[in-house]
Amino acid sequence: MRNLYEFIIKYIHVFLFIFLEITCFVFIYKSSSYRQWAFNVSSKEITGPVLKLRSTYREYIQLKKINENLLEENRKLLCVSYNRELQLLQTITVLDSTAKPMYEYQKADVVENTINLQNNYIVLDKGKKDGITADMGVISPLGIVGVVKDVSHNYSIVLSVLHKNFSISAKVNTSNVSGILVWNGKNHTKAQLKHISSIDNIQIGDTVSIQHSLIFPESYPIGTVDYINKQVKGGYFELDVVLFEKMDRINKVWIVKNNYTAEITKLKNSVEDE
Amino acid sequence: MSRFMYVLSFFLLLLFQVLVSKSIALWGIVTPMAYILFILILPFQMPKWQVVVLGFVMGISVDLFTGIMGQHAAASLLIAFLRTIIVSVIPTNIKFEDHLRPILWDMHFVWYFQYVLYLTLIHHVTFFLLDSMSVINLFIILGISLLNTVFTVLLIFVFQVIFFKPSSRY
Repeated sequence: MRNLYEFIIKYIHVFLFIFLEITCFVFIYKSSSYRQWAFNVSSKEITGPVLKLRSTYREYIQLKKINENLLEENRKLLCVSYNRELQLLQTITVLDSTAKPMYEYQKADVVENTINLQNNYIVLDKGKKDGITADMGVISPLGIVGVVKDVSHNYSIVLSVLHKNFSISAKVNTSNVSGILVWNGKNHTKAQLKHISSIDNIQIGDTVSIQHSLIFPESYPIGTVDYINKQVKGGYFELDVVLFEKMDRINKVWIVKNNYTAEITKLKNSVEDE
Repeated sequence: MSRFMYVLSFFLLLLFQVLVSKSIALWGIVTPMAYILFILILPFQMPKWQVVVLGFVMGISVDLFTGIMGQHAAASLLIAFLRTIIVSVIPTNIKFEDHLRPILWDMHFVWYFQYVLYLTLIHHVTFFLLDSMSVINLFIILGISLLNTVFTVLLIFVFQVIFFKPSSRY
């Protein structure tokens, strides 16, 4: 008995090491299933203010770039609203005053962002108290950024476009060929558009945008075609897409809220039930 | 170095990691993880179990601020455990006198460089493998680890030169 006691005392560091390492793996394993992010989100409640300090500083040194982006966005909005008014003047329409707009947008700041991992996440400074829920889209003035995965009271965690499990339906604008946008983990400026059935009308430089999505506005830009891969097994082609949004520079983003998600899901479920 | 100085260096390195390291990003893929310096400078005489526990505490503190819970902790725990083995493996003719600490000024450059390089490499490869949890992009992961190792080692040496001075013989 005394020998056993001495043995344990002598190798206590090995036992401690094994025990703590197993603890770490349990943590990692739990947080890789997305519903288990709760602990991580709540830890952001404590560390959030410190991270906020850093993003404030970074925001300051990027002011010039941010201003340029805002000007560009304003220009686009001006075009849209001006055209809209012209249309309204030409055709007299009766607007339903109770109807909500399809999409509502909420401004958010990036608090934490990674790009050098295989599974990247973004932390935003808006949470439950601002009406954010899981599965809302996140866009920047230039392109898509990710999807909200989990929210705490003040913060939300976003599955970045640069994540193995991110996938969204997208189309090539000029030829209307659609596919699924994913990231292969290699280059943080490029995503891949898979399951392309034909590449006849696709040229390098064509714009790729969102198609048939409930979480992103229809036809929201994603990026441009950079490379056409014809050597894919299974009869489908694959495109490399250069993202419009430089993922290492994102700073101000919009969280997209679809007011009709519940209605559409309900409709879908009722069809599936039959 | 008194106990207070170790506590201070713990918090300074943690703050540096959380606030500054991310902004160093070159081409967006380099994030030096200089916080492991805390594990490297712990005294030779410290009981092994204390080193292991402190390694875990350092890692989990960084985890609170970034990424998935347990990633940094698992990697820094591993190097805290392997530290004594690495020290015994690196060939040297230094006599480990009691007043010497594992810092650049007390050790020969070649010995210290190997010490830092091996532990940093182990830490980074473990960290990035734990992140991907697959070997599909193995060479990219190893490449990123190597690149990060270069910058971490560089930063650790800069810290050593600026903030440490040779320990006196009592």
